Amino acid sequence: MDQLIEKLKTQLITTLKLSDIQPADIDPDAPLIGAGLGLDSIDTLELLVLLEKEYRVTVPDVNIGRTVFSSVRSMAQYISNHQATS
Amino acid sequence: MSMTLYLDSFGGLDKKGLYSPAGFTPWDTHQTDAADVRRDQVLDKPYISFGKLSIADKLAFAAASLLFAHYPECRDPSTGIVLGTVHGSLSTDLRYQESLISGFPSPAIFSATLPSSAVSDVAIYYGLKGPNRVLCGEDSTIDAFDFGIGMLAHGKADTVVVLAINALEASDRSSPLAFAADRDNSAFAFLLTTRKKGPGLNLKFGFSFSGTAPTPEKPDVYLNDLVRHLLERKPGEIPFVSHHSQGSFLLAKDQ
Repeated sequence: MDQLIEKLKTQLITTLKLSDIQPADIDPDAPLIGAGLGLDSIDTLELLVLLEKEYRVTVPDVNIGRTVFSSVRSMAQYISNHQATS
Repeated sequence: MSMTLYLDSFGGLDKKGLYSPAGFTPWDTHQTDAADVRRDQVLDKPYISFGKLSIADKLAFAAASLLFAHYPECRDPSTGIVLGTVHGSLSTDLRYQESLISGFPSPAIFSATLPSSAVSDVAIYYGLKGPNRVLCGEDSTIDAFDFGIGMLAHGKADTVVVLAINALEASDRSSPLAFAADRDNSAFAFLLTTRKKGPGLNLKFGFSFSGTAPTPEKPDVYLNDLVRHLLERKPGEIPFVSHHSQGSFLLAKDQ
């Protein structure tokens, strides 16, 4: 899980082209949207594409999305759970 | 009709370096193009979204940041913005097309496939809520002055940021959709106002409307010359001629 979290941190920075931030700056338990990293709705859509493209994992609805994108750790957890079952 | 306006600040970047009221700063050795600009060269505090900006948005934002960095007191919520962007959002459009072909269209790139996204980046960051206008095409950088002056002349705003942008990714210069592809990437921003004794440079800009004036043959050269004169603060008069208007910058601090 820790490896996946570190990989996701790097992918977040690369995919979202975040400036002035390093993987070590990202708290895996901090909120991704709004507070914390300060991502917006377009960033969330980009993360949906990342999950599907890189991990073949889809997020079926907005309520599940709210949980998945609440933090890097929750993203990693969701990927682990769904890759294991697919 | 003639009127007197004032130019309170400016900012810009081209293949040589960065321009602002503080002076000229050449690029670092590894930087060869305006598109190589880094956040720390135009903003003194971190901005997480800087890397997300498309090339046109980044250049417009960088020029506006240089303009406001030296005279932050010039930031007024009622300020309007006029953007003249030669290539519009062509590079972003081509990147989005590539992402479509890959099977995973990028929402972030899609959101910048309108040239007006450059205006929104500047307006949101600097809190400018005045009217705005976006012009695209070969002469748009000069025409942006006309629209900016028009906004001031008609009382739509009393201060306007005029943004003149040439922005095209190097890989897109051979695209059949690219015209004026030989023009170097550059961005210039000018703060025009009707307010006498504003907080900035307060350079007089005498101006008169004329429907018969010829547009400058090389708008980029004209804008570069203008910025060079502004940098040197040489007293004197620089003629301004566009499609619809003519006037002159009077390079002397208003007393």
